[in-house]
Amino acid sequence: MEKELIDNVCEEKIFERIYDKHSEVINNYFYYKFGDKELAEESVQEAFIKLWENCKKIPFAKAKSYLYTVANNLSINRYKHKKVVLNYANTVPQRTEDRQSPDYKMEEQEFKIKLQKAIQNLSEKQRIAFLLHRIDEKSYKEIADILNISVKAVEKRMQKALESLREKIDAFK
Amino acid sequence: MKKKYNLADWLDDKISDESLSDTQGIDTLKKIKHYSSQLDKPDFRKEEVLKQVKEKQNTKKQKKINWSVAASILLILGISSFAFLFSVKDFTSQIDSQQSVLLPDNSKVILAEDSKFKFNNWFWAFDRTVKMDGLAYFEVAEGKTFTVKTNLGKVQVLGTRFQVMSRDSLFEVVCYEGSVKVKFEGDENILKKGQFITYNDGVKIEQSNVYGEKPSWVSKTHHFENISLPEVMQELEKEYQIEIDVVKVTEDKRFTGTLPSDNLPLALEILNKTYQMNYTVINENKFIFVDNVQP
Repeated sequence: MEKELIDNVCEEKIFERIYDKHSEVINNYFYYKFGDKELAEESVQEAFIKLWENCKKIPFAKAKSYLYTVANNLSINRYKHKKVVLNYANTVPQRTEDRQSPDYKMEEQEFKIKLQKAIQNLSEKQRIAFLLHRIDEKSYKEIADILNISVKAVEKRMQKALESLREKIDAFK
Repeated sequence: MKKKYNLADWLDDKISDESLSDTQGIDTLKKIKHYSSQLDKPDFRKEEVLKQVKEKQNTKKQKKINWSVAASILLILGISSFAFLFSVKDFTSQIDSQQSVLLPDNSKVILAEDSKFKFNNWFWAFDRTVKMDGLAYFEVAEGKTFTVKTNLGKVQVLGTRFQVMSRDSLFEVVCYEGSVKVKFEGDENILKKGQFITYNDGVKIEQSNVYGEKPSWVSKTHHFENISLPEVMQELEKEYQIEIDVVKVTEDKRFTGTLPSDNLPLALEILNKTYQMNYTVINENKFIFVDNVQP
C-alpha cells in the first residue's frame, strides 16, 4: 500500500535508479540513429528531463516505456545524421591467435573495415535493431519494446540487416 | 513459414550453423555474426550527463518557485497598493476655519487653519500613522503606537493629548497629557505633561511651562449651518453635559450662527434672543425651552 502512494519517479533515488539502468541503452540507441555522440548525449538529457518534468504522472513500471517513447519522438526532428563510427573491442580474445598467419590477420582487418562500412550504409531502422542486438545484447523482445514494434517486425529487420550486410561485404570484394 | 526469418533466428542462436549450410554466402554471414559481436559500445559520459540533467532539474525547479513567488509578491503588492491608494484619506483645512477629524479608533484630531492631514483608513488597524503639515491638536485613543509624521520631525505616542506644529522650518510639539516621544533629525526627546519642545531652523528650545487642557487656538465656538433646533440642542447637550427639553417649542426653527462652547448661559441667551424663546432652569443640568409668548 505504502509503495503505491509514492509510486512515481519524482523521488530522486528512484529517478537515479532509472537513469542508471536505462541511460546507456538510450544513448546507444540515439548514437546508432544519428551517428553523433554529442547529439546522442543531448538527446539522453532531454529524454530524462522530460521524464522528470512529468514524473508525477509516471509510475516506476512505466518509466522505461515512457523514455523510449520520448526517444522515438525526439528523433523525428533530427535530420543531421552522421556516419556511425564503431570500434572493435581490444579486449575480446582472438581465437586461434597463436596460429594466425599474417595473411589471416590482414584478411581479418580488411573484413572488419568492410563490416564497419556496411553497417554505416544500413538503413537506420535495420542498423538500430542490429546493433542493439550485437552490441547491447538486447533480446528481440527487448528491442521490440524499445522500438515499440512487434517481435516479428524485429526479426524481419534482423533478417534484412544480415542479408544487406552480406551483400554489401561481398560486393566490396 | 517458420523459416522465413531463419537468419534472424540463427543470429539469435536459436538455430545452428548447420541448418543454414546451404544458404548463400554463409561464410560471410558467419564472419558478420562473429565480428559484429566484437564491436565496442559507443562512448557515453554517463555521470556527466546525469549531472547536467540534475542541473536542469534544479534550475527548472528554482524557476518554478521563483515564478510563483514573484507572482504572489506582485499580487500582494498590487492589491495592497490598490488598497493603499484608495483608502488614503486626505484633509485640508481652509485658511479661515478649523476642521476636526475622527479617526477609525475614535482618536480625535483638530486641524488648525490652513493645515493638511492624511491617514490610511485601510491599514489603520495595523499601523496608526498619520501625516500632517501645519498645526494640529491630537486626542489619541489608547492602543498601539500612534505616529505623526511631518516634513520636519516625527512624534510617537501610545495614547495621550498633544499638539504638533510643523510649518516651514518650525517644528513644535506640546504635550498636554501622558508622554510623547519626539524625533527630530536624530535627536530624540520624551515630553511629559506640560512640556513642549521647539526646533526652529534646527535649533532646539525646550521649556516646560504649558498649563491648560488644550491649546488656546482650539476653537471655543461651535458653528451651525442651517441646523434644526433639536439638533443644535443635542450638540449643546454633548458639549456641556446637560439636558435640554425643547418639546414645548412649537415652531419649526433652523439655526445658522456661532455658539460659544465654553459659556453655557451665553449660548442659551443667544438662542433665546434669536427665536423668541424662554428657558427655565430645572436644575444645574436641566433646561426647558418654551415659546416666548408676547403679551
